[in-house]
Amino acid sequence: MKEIDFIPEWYKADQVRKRRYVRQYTIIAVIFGVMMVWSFVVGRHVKHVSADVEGVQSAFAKGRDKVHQAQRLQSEIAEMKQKAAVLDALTSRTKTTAILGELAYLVQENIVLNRLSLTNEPIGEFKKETPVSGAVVQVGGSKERQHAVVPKTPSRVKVTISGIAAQPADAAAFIAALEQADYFQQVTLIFSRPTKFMDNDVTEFEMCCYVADYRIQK
Amino acid sequence: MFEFFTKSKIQPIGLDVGHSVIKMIQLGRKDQTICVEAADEETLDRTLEPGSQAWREQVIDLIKTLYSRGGFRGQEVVFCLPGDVVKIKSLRLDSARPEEIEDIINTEVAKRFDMNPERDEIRYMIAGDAYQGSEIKSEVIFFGIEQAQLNLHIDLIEQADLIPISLDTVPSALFRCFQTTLRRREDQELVSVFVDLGSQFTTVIIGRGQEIAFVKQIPIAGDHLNQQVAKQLGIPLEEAADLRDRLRHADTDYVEIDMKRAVIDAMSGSIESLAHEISLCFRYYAVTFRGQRPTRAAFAGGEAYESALIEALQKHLGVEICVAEPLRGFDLSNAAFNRRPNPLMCEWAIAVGLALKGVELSEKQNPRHRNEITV
Repeated sequence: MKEIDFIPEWYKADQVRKRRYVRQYTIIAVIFGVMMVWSFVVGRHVKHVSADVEGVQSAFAKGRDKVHQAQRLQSEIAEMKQKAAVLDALTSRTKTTAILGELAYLVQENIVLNRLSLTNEPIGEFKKETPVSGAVVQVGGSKERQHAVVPKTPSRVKVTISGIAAQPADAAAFIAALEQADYFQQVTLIFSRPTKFMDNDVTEFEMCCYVADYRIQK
Repeated sequence: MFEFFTKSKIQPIGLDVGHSVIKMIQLGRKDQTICVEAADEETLDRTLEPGSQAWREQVIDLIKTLYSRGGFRGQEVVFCLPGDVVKIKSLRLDSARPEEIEDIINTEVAKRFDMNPERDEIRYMIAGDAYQGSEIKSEVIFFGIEQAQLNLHIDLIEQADLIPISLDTVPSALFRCFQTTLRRREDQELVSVFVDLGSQFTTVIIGRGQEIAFVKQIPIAGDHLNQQVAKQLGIPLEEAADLRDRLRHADTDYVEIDMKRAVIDAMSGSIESLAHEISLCFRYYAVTFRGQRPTRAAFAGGEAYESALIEALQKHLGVEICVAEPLRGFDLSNAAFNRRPNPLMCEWAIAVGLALKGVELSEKQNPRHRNEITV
């Protein structure tokens, strides 16, 4: 059956146009909605990222301050270590009290000391650095690397003792005691002469020796 | 879960605004079966002049009420233009070529319809070859409506918040309703007669196979019978309509036998006139198309329930008359029909025809959903 339809063409065209408008407006609305949602999501994301960045920046600033502080402390520590090394290098390896204690043990009652000199001096074989010698000095205790102003060669303590003895034999006994003591070595009498002290005949003497707190290994 | 996706597309609503009743029906498809998704009807106030502003406002309100109450979906409707605004004329033409028919529309048909072919809407359908003496001509049925009337009806539908996708005529809707029963090969030459007994017009359609061969609108219908009863019995028109209504709906126990006899006698003149007009239609068809005379006629419309009228027409026409069942074979499980007073529901024929057109239009737009309708 052929269909009869009285819908006018202008009405159909109008409906098509309306549907097109509705479709277009719907698409625009959907796009707008998607953009809104997208911008909202992106905004939230950006907000979170900004907060994270701010946190990271503040942490970075704090870290940078701490790094500067640490660097400053490290430089201070290094400087202090340097100073400590210099001090260590300058400070005698051998304790003065120990030397005095040993001497107090060895000095007899007939001997009076009027001068005691403790001098660090390089060990004789290292005065001139001769690589050929190949000698190594093993010293008691550890030493940090020494600064340029600090003597680089190993040193030993030279003890110079001046005094008077009641008898020449007392001076000789003192020398013998020093020589016998393991704490000292190379005891050398510099001079010994009779002299007057408070109208009494005494023997003035001067001797030197070295503290035996090192060993030379060949 | 996937019911939403598999649910069939919303089909357009069939909207039949008669002179006394508004009917809305929406069909759907379940596999190959047509089911009624929603249907509802409401009676119009007969005291209002059809076409008046008050009548229009009442129609708009009732359509909105039916839509919300009946559970309809979608906004698209197939609307039926009332018989009194559509002019119908059959002409015999030498040729059935579309160009020549268009020329004739612009000249002769427009003149006969008293219409402007540029402004008003005129459609046609080719009924078939007609015999005029020894000549064979093409019988063409023309339908015309003035643009002003068309605009009024479009406005009416739009004011009811609906969108008309098709404006159909009573004959087309009525024939389409029963077209699905004429698809067998042996039905191709079958002459079928469908008569719609409405309020203002009785529409006679004679079809051959699946094509309409003859259409006639006879201005003798329910309102005319009411006027006759009122005039003969000397009672108001409303009372006459009420009396006939009670006679129709098996309330004869409450109507005196004498009164019933008097009502039938009062209608007899009009019934005879109507029968004569219908018999003339049969004769015209037999002479024009040299086809076999119809032996059976199916009656639809609100007046078809009146047994006295049907019996009288059967006696006068001499053909077998049956009351149509437009919803036969449809799945009515979703529709809240009250079938008790009128189990055949023949008054729904035009609305069903409109809704079926909506289904066809929808399937044309979506060929994937196209299936043969099984009724």
